[in-house]
Amino acid sequence: MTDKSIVYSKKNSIVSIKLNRPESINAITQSMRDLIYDALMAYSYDEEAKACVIYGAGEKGFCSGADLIEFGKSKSQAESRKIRKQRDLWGLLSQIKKPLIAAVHGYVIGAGLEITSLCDIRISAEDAVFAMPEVAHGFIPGAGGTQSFPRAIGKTHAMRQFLGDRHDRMTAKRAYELGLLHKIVSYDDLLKTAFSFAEDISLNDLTLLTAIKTAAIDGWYKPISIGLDLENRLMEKVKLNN
Amino acid sequence: MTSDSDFELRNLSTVQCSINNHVGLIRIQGKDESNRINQLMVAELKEAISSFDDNPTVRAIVLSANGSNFSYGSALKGSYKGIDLHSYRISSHLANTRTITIASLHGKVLDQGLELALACDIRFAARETKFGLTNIKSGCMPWDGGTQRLTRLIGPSRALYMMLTGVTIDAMQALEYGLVSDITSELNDEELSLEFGKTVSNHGPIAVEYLKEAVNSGSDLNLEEGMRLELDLATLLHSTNDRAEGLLAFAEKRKPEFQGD
Repeated sequence: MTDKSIVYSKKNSIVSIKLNRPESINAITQSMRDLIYDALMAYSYDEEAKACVIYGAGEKGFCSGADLIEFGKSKSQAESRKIRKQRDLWGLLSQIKKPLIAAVHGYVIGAGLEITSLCDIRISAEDAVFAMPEVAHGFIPGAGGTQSFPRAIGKTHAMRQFLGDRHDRMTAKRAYELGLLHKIVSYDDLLKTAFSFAEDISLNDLTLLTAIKTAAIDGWYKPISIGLDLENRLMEKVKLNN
Repeated sequence: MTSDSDFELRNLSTVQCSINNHVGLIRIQGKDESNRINQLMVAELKEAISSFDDNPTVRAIVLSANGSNFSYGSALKGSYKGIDLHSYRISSHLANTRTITIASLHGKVLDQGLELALACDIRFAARETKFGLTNIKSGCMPWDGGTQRLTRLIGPSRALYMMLTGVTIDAMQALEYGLVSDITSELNDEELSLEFGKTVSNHGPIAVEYLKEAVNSGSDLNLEEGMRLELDLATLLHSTNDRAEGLLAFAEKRKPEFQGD
């Protein structure tokens, strides 16, 4: 395989996805999307894998968003929708019932912030800056951002970020205050910290990890009676395992 | 283009309206400093909001207030017995606009005044602003969307604390709660709101409208359904000239000029 725009690695029960186009701050191309899709499928079907760390190569940043130059050569509406439905990366990312850990630094823009928002645990370097500038460019976030971002930091602050100036960026400190981030560390400690979270998580049984995430994600935005019912059923499964 | 001169909302008595740089400004003007919302104001506000929302040149609406308070709430006093509240409610009318709405808040923002603000997309407040749903103190409950919108915005724990005690909170606390998007520093609340409105009006108008729909409708859906809605709206945008212009401007490293088509 010659395309090295992402690197999927596995060590014991921990996998990682490195976005690997540092020359363009890991801007997401169509082929990267397909590769990430395959990597996430591999993660979700690997019975040994219990945690996945997503991070970006290079010092400049985690991800500067969708590759807008490639994005511009867009196909017809029907064609784009078909492609998206066949390999719906963002749908997959939002539905994976195994832990996802984002380790971000530098530029975390557009799709980069959307990927971050869909991860369960978000660790950031001090230097990270966050922005969702899509509407300033004439479109809307398309990697789940309109859903995941308001859920992560609340509608009031999310709308402010969506609609602000395209140069209006949020610092790591602010993102932490708003609840987007769980921990801020120095850039040098970023991967060490993220993988140490992954290590801790992976000490648990996979059935348990999946049950907790399924209960939280699938029960969310449903009537609580349905959510509680789901929790009961999942707990019965967990009981059989311990 | 609609200019201020052919603007027909000049003669309303409880609201002042103007349009400047694609931003519609509505200032409520009550009988006194408390800026209480009476039936006439409700009717005129509805008219002003609809008129701006139907006007394609208006790309953001700022809802502000004359005087030292945004509003103490409804002018209704005493018993609600026998009163049809339908003609006193306004928040859903405001929440259902296609245009982005920005509440510009200062002084007291209480009861229905806060319910109005909660129905907007963005809220900016001056530093000394006080917020509360104090209805319980007169033996009543919020009745213009407050129990629903406040709970969804700041969570049931904080919302019930406010509604069951009738406490007023200050701007710093409101910012922490996620009740307001920002508080003012150098600018006053109206300047800050108008400036933000101008920023919004520079964005792709269709994208802004779809964003509002994706966020608001999506917040009633589970994540999977919400993602589907976003995908459909994002794909619909593929056919717009605004999107093509946005991408071209990005490639040419210049500011995009959106026409809203």
